[in-house]
Amino acid sequence: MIQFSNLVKKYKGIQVLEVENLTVTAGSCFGLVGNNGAGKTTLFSVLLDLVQPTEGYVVNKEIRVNQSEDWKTHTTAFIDESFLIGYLTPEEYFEFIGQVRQSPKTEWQKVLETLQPFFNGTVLGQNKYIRDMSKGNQKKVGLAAAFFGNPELIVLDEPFANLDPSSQIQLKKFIALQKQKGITFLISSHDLSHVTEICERIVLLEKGKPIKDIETSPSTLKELESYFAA
Amino acid sequence: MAQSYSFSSLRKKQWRRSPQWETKLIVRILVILFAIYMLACFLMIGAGGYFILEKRLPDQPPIQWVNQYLFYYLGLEWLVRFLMQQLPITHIQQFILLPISKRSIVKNVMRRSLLSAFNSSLLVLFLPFAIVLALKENHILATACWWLGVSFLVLTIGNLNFLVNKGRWFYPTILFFLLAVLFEQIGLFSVAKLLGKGMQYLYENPLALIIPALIFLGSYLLTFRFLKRNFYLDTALEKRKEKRWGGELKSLDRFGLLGAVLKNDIRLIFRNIRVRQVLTGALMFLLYGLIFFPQTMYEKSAMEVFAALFTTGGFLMMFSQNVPAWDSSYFKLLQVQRLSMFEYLLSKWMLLVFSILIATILTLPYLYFGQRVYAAIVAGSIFNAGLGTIIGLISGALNHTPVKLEVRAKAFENTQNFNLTQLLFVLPKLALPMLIFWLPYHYLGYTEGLIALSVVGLLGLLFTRPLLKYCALLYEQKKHEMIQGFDKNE
Repeated sequence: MIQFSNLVKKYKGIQVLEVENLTVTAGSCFGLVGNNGAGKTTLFSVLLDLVQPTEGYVVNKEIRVNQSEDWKTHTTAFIDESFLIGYLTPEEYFEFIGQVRQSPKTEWQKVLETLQPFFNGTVLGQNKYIRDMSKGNQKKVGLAAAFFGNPELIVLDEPFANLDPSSQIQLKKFIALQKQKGITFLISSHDLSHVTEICERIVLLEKGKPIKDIETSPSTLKELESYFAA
Repeated sequence: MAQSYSFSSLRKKQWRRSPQWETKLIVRILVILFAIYMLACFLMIGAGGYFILEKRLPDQPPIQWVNQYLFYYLGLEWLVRFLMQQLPITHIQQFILLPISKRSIVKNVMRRSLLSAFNSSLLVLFLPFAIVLALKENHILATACWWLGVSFLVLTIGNLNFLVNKGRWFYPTILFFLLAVLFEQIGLFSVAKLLGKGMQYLYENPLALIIPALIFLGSYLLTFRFLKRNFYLDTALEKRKEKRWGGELKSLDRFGLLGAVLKNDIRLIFRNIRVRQVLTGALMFLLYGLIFFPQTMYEKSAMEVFAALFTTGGFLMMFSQNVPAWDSSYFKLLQVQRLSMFEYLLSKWMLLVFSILIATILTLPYLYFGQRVYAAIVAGSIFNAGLGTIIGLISGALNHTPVKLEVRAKAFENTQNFNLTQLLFVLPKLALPMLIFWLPYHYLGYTEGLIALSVVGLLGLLFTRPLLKYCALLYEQKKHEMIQGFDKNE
């Protein structure tokens, strides 16, 4: 599904990312962990062509992301609040994303319906602009919209941060459900237990380099914890 | 002293490390050149003023004439300050929780405002006049006191501007000046004469200096208290929630992707203070023609066309220079969607053309000044719609400074969308249409000039698609720079 090849990103001569060869297979959940500054968000930004790599390239479903925009059809993402339009209400935002992703109204409304337990009554019908909502509720809006328009690849940066405990559990359930449909997930998180729970494969980044590549097993959480404790 | 030093070093860092600081440096240099020019003009008027008045009005001592019109000068100065002066009270919030006393922050702000270029009129206009006056009339003490008195009044106006800009003094101040003018007109009471007499008294009795001094002190304390109190008002806790604006705009749904973007852009304009300010600004621009069209001396002149371009192009100029920047807070979102730059720009282009169309209709009353005037307006708007839009969108592509959409009109935030720096960017945009008009105007005539302007505009409209495609290409090339720039907070 995704192929990172000889990727190097430097900011003013300082190398922040170096990924020689990393492949993500379709239909799996790929987890990315690492301390602050490890390069998780930069890796996602390069994948989404928001940042140009200094060297190397990314292939998303046979498309080089900086050469064609066709990958946008099957890819969605929620990275941070810059993926939200503050002066819209959640309903208007959903409509906008639905229209831009050319998803019929009935289709994206079905997605919202299945997400009702996740919203927990705090998102829809509040008659509030997104900018006036709490950080947690803003996040719910952005995450929900990432499931619009039948994506094949969903990129989520820190999806669990700022969410209340019930929403975290609901989100995990929902991701598990979507995985069954064959959607590929790319998720970064500081919460080791969440990633080990939902991802089949976890890559540990340190100073921009992947230093561990783990198939998730019952011992993975312990292994990761002992790494970060050291 | 140590604290005030660290403040200025922080300011320096903020400026040096802000995105696109090289561009800002160039603009700053242009501003300085303009300032030097203005300085020279003021110096000449100040030093030569005495002699001119002496020659023109031999029956009246020059000082009396100056005193007589001082009130109008102060009113004008306030107006200019209100429109142009950027109060040095931005970027203060980050200091609020630091162990720097509020007193020292406010003091620093007020001290910086004393050094404002707007106070330089005291040194370059009134001081040379006072020196000439002292030399000619030999009342050194009296002249010094008179100059100090004027200084206190001008500085009071500066303080007043804080209160007007950030507090609730706007309407009272406007009302005061309007009433003063009204009373003057009907001959009931003249504030100007009162002030003139007062200043004349001060010139003759230097002890009276205490009165303007007290007025200044009062305004200083009032402003100080106001600024100190307003430290609290703007905290995140008191974030003002805006009422929801606007209908469903369902009729736009028919246009698919373009409709969705257009709908968003319309909401962008009406739901964000910063953009609404542009809208009010554009309405003011509609009145711009009133300065030139009624005067016969501008008849069939290049100035008339200049005014016409401005009259319908206000929204175009103010909106287009921030075109990707308006969307800076969610630019990444747009970039991962299947929304091509062409569609993005087409939507903005339609808004701009629509604004010009509306302005052209709203300026119909200018027909009162003759068909010639309105012909100039129409020619100007055709040019604005055809080529002005494209130039505006290109200039926007070079602006990678993020825009804060909901900067509220309260203390400690910069709310002015009208300043000298932005004004300078407007110049090249106006030079081109003026050149297109001026060449045939100079060699053939006024009508030919208007025709040339319209033809170029029509050509622009005819080739809108390829021109926008070119813009889209430019935007795509600059895409990563834009994202990087918008990521930075000023």
